[in-house]
This record gives sequence, C-alpha cells and structure tokens, in this order.
Amino acid sequence: MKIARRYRNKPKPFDYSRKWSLRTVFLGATLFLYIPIFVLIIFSFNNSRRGGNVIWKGFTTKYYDKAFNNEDLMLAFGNTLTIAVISTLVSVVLGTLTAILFWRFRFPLKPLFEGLVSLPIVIPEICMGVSLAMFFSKMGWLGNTSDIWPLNLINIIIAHITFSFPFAAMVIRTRLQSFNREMEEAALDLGAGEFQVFKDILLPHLKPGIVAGALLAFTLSLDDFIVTFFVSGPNTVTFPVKIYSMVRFSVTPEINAASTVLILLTLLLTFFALRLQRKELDGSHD
Amino acid sequence: MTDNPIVSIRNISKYFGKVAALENVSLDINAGEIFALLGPSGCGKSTLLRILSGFETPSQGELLLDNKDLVGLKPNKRPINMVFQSYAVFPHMSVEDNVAYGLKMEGVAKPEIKQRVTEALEQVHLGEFGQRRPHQLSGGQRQRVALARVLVKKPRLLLLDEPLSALDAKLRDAMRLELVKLQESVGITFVIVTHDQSEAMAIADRIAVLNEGRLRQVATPADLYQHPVDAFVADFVGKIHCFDLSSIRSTDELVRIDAKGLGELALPLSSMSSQTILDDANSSDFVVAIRPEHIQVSLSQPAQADATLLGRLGDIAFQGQHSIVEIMIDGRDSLTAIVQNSDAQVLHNAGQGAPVWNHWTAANMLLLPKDASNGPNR
Amino acid sequence: MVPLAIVFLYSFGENVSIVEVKTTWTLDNYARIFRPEIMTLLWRTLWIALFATIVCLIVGFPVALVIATASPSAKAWLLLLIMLPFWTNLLIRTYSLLNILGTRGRLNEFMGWIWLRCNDFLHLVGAGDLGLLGAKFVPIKYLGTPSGVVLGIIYVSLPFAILPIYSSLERMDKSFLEASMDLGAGQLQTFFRILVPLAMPGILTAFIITFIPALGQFLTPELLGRGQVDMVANVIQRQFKGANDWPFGSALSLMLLYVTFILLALRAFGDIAKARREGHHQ
Repeated sequence: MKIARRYRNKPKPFDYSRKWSLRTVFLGATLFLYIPIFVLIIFSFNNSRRGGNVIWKGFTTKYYDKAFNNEDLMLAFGNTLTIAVISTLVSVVLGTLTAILFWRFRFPLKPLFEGLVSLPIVIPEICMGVSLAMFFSKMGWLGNTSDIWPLNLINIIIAHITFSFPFAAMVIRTRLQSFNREMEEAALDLGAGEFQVFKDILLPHLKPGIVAGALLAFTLSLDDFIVTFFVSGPNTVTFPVKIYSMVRFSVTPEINAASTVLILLTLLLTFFALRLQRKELDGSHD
Repeated sequence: MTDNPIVSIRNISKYFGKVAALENVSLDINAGEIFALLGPSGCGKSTLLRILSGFETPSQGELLLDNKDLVGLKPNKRPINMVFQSYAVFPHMSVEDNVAYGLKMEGVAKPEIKQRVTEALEQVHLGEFGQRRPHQLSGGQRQRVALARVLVKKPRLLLLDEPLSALDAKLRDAMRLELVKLQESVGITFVIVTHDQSEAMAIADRIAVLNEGRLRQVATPADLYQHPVDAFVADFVGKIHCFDLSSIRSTDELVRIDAKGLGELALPLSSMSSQTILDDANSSDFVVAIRPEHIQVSLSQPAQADATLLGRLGDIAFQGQHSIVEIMIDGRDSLTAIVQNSDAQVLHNAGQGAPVWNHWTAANMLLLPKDASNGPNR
Repeated sequence: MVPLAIVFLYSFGENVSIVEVKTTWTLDNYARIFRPEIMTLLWRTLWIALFATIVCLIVGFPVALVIATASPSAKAWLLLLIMLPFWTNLLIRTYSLLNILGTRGRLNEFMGWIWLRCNDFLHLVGAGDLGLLGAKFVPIKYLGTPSGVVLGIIYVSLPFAILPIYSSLERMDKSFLEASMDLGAGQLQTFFRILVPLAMPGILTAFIITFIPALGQFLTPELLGRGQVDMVANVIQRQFKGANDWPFGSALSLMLLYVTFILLALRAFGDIAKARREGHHQ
C-alpha cells in the first residue's frame, strides 16, 4: 500500500483569473487605462510654459494658483455645478415618474414611447447635440438666453435633463422590477390610499435606484462636452467647454491642474456613491 | 457480481482550507456494477465524484483505475465521463452535434461518428431527435441526450450526479428502470451520486454511505438495511426507532442489555454488526433499535413477547397496501408501526387514545453503535 | 399632467429637422454626401471605429474573463478598478493622451528607452556595428495620424466594451465548460467551441455599445488628429459652428443616425428570431 501523497494547489481547469497569461493582459489593460491619467496629474506640477507641457522642467504648484485665480475658469466651474445640480434633481424626478409610468400602465403606442425614452441612451452624442441645437435655435433659445443667472443656463440645463433622465429612468426601472407587487396590494388592503402607498411603500424600495440614478445623472451632466458645446453661447461656458478652448489655445500645466481637480471631484463622488451603496445593501434586505 | 475492482479509492482526503470535505475515504468499485454514493447534503459525495471525474484534486490519497493512479490526470484525458446534474447539454448545438462532440474531440472519422451517434440516440430512444435543438426538448429528453453523449464514448466509468432529482415522480420511476436496463445492456460501470435513499436502494448493486466527509458503510442495499453498521446508517436508509441503553453484558451466545423503557432484554449475537467489546463502560455509545415493520400492535397484552411497550393509539394512515399506525409513548418520541389493513381496522375501531401494546421479538432488534467512525465494515 | 410633460420633452430629443433652413425639401445635401471627399471621410470614420472596436473586444474579452472568474471579493474591486477611468471626464482622458502620444511624449520616450537597451545588448554581443536597429531611434508619430486617433478611441472605449462581456460571462453556467472537458476537449478547444459561442450575446452587445459611440467621436479625432484626421463628427461640428451650413450638418448627422438605427434594428431582429426559435423557454 503506497503512502498517501500531497498535491499542490494548481489552478483548476477554468480558473481563468489565476492564469498568468491572462493576468498579464489584465495588468496591461489596467496600466494602459491609468498611466495617462497619472502622467496628467504629475505634469500638472510641471514648470513649463511652452512646448506643450511634454518635457519635465521642474516641480511647481504655481499652475494650481493660476487655475484657481482664473476667473473665467472658476465661473465655468460654478456654471457646471449649478447645471449639474439642477439637471440632476429634475432628471431624477422625471426618471422616476417615467419608470413608474412604464412599469404600471399600459397605453396605446407604449413601445413607441419606450423607444423614444431610450433614444438618448443609444444615439451618438453628436446627434443629440445637433438636434438640440436646431430645436433651440427654432425656439430662439440658442446661445444667450438671458443675462440673469441662472436663467442664462436654462437651455443647457434643459439639454442636460433631456439626455440624462432616460439613464435615470433605466436605472430606476431595473430597481422597480424587483418590487413585489403584493406589498402594494397588502398596503391597500390595510387601508392605505394610493398616494400613501406610493410614499410609504414604493418610494423606499426605490431609494437605492433613485440614488444610483441621481449619481449617474450628475456625472453625465458634469462631464458633458459635446451637447453643451453645441447648445451654449460665449457667455455660458461650462468647465469642460472652457478647458477645451484652453487646450485649443495652448497646452499648459494650468489645464492639467484644472483637470486634476475635476478628477479628484469625480473620485470623491464615486467614493460616496460606493459608501451609500454599501449602506443601502446593509440596511435594506429586499 | 464477482468482486472485480476496476476503481480503487485509497485514503482520499480533501480539505478546503480547514474544512475537511472528505476524510480518509477508501473503497473499491467493481467492474460492471451500479455503485451509489449516498448521503445527506454536505457529506462529501459530490466532492468525491468530482475527484473521480478530475475536476478536483484530492489533498491526499490515490485514485486507481485499472491499477493506474489518475490523480493529476486532467479530466479530458480520463476514460471517465460524467452526466452533470444540470445535464449541461450545449444550447448552441443540435442534439446530434452534442452527442458527436466527444467523438470529435477524440478525432474519430466522420462516417464513424455519424454511425455511432445514430446508434447512441437509438439506445436512449431519441432516434428521431437528431436535428432538434436543446431548447425544444423537455428535461427528461435533455437528460437522455446527456446520456447518449457520454455512452457513445464507451468510457470505463460513467458518473451520474443526482440523475433523478430533477424529474417529477412519474418520470423518475420510468427513468429509474431505464437507467438499470441501459446499464445492463452496455455493461459500463456506473457511479451514481444521490441524497435519496430509496433511489439508491432501488437502482444500486452496492451503496457507499457517507456522512460529514467520512465513509460509514459500503454494502448491498439489503445488507445496508438489515445489517447497518451504526444508528446513523440505520436511520438514513429507513425509519428506525432507537432506545438508549443503561447496561450491556455479553456472554458467548447472548448479549444482555437494559434498555430504557424496555427493561432487560437478551439478544442473540447475530443482532450485532460489529465486533466491538461490549460492556457497561461503553453502553452509552450504543442503542438498540427496531424497525416499524417488526412492531406488532395489539389491544391486549401479548402472552409471550421479548420486548413490550405500552402506549396510546395515535393516527392511523391508510397507505393502500398497508397502514401506518402512530403510537404515543410516554417519555419518548412516538413509534410508528406498519400494520396489515385488517388489523388496522380493529385498532381504528378502538379509537384514538386507546391503550395498545407494542411488542416484537428480540431477534429482530439491532444493537448498534451510535456512530461507527472508525471506517467501514464489509 | 405628467404624460404631457413627458411628451413635451420627447419633442426635444427627437427633433431633427428635415433639411434646409428654409425647409425647401431639397435633396441637394444628401447628394453632397456622395461626393468623393465626403465618402472618403465616411469610409475613414467607419474603419477607424471598426478597428478600434475590434481591438477593444480582443483586449476586453480576457479582462472580462479574469474578472468574471475571480473570487467574489476580488470581483468587486477589479470591476471598480476597470470602471473608475470610465467615470473620469472624456475630455480630460483624451487630453491626457496628448502628453503620451507626442513625438516627445511618454510612449516614444519608452520606446526610445527600449531601443537603447536593445542597442546596448547588441553591442554587448558584438553585433553593434551591423546597424540592425538603425543609426538612432526614430520616434513614431502618433498625433495627427490615424493611429493616434485609433489609440485614443480604444483608450476611451475599453471600459465600455468590458462590461457587457463580463455580464454575460458571469452568468454562464460553468458546467457547460466542465462537460466539454469531460468529453475530451482541451482548454483551447473548450474556449473556442463552447465559451465564446455561449458568450456571444454579450460580445455583440459590447460591439454595438462600443462601435456606435466610436462612429460619433468628436473630441478624440479633434484633439489627437490635429486637423489631419477627421471623422464625421468633426465635419458636422464645423457645419454648425464655422461654415454655418446647418442643412448639410443635419444631413450628415442623420446619416449617422441611420447607421445607428440599422445596427440596432439588426440586433433587435436577431433577438426576435432567436426568441422565436426558442419558443417556450424551459
């Protein structure tokens, strides 16, 4: 009788994540995705005035000063935030209503409407930009609409709402699908009115979806370039559009600095989003 | 069935971290038999099956097929094939292509593939279904495709993971017969994993009972039922009532016990299934047990009986061929007895709660250790 | 009230006016599309987008595979790792490539460094004078060439391609792969005969959601193409902001929409045909 032997823990046949060939590809892809961003951040500290900020000439933080003192840039940043906040709020409300509408009711031509709502999600951004620009121009809303803040941003806000509420609706709709209709019926059975049911039963279930939709809408608005570019005028500039014009003018570390700030903001948002998601998962057991 | 082992499992253990899925399991499987691995969930039977098929490697031990160690051999190189619990019939291929797949991998010539596939499909009664797609088939039909797919390769060993659990009752009975007939006609050694003891008892030539990673007993169904190695096995393969003991004394021919509730009894040595030393010291490790079909129920005290227990009549459930009578006993779980319908009628007339005498002969009793964890007995 | 508001807003999204500023219903603008320079433009757009998409799929598949088969705790982190760049602003990401892809940029720097090492190695083994690698390192020009634009599009689209493939792989029943192996197939055979076909829906989705945005890319060709490499979107933009030829711009963007819809329709028909074949799914 042979003595029992031990066997090393080799990766099992379909344990792809342990194979080194695949791990290398994964690593390569990750590096590919992150290196340009890191380089951008590093070069925001580059002491180089000309030459396109490609050659390292020494460390400095003066371009951050420049960026923060750049009035136009700061104004653009303010605009972007304002637009993002307002458009997110409205998008979420519209998205929720739309999602519930589609989930609840049947009406003629429903598939058509469903298609219309998902349109902004599938078509290339430039088509959105073009069509919104044309619409606004027909309404006389293109470019500067007013000199009063925030009304001058209204057209951009409307544009943002238009393309972000379908995304919010999609996220919320997914969340709706996991809703147990019987809970609603139980509440009605116990005497609650329709609105109360909505407020006390449906809305809490939807909360994670609404939060996710809001974050999505916010990010989309914050980052948007093409649509905003088509719809805005010289006085209503958002952060990405301003950076774009700076890039066309000349490439300096100031742009890097501004970009780094935006990256940090995005990171913070993502961090909060995850935190919220984890809390939701721990809290609600649906 | 002559003892002609083609598979030897020697001291196989499998650890997942600190948890032992299998501990020191050894058994032999004979050529041409239907062998069942039986046990509750988590007992390690599925792990053992995966070790046989090659999708898990044991932490320790050997696996011999025709006297060659298979450990370390990849699944696709083993002359062993498996029918998966979900059948795993490839949805993007036709039935024919599914069945031909294994032969294609072997590099068999096209005309021969065609012929063997047709034969295999005939064998599982799916001759006309060659061009169909899996989504067009019922669960039972997909299972037969999975069977044809492995049979066509004529493996040394065929593994089946819970083959009957996904089928409804009627289909289960039909499939049970078909599997046995199929095995007889192809002669391939089958290893079946199941948690259903009635399934195992009906199909298998021999059964290995596992619990918590350890092998409890390997025996034919009859042996398993009549001579279980311990109380766990006895209870797993059929209903049984156990009584704790307060003392044991053994002589050459008899074992004298004092069972709680039954008083003193003398049992012939044949009621023992292991040759352990019995005395008062380890009486708490043993129980004495009786099966429902051996319990007699009567309204008057029996004139002559080895063991007697007084109780009150509970529910009587008519089962068709016989009735199952429930008897309430003070101080322990209720007993069930299997009773002929005519006798059941008499009891029924006495009414619920009527005092009844339950008795049986000592020869029908089993003296069992609660837990025979020192490996199997043949 | 709510439905009305919705209808009102839909009119935004799908308002693409027909052709002329004065709506004379002329087909002249469409005719212009068929002129050689525009056809070249469209052709180039198509090829760049296609090439970039295919590379994204080829690289994305292994990455998705690694994530899908990782341990549950690792999965979330790996997914986050890959998705995080996606959340960063598109403009910033494209801009960051300027530093990398320039003739004095990081990529060429790296290639130059490799060239030096190889050259040193050759000198070491005595083959130095053969001039195998040329007299000195010639940096490759990426910016202002199609290769730069393609790299740029791959860079911004990669996370997009990974997600649907991951989703479809994650849902796959592992027992199919094991059955294949049990029947005698090797790893590679199982991969091509079973894994890829079963992941095909995810791959197709990945193709569509990568290809369509790639077609309509504006920023990447604009910033990385330096005016030398135009895609459809750049020309469209110029009609609106520069040349003030809105009708032509509309015509072009409608072309883009048509292509999008054709692709989506193909996908939808594929799904319907599949559903009809599968009938009552068990």
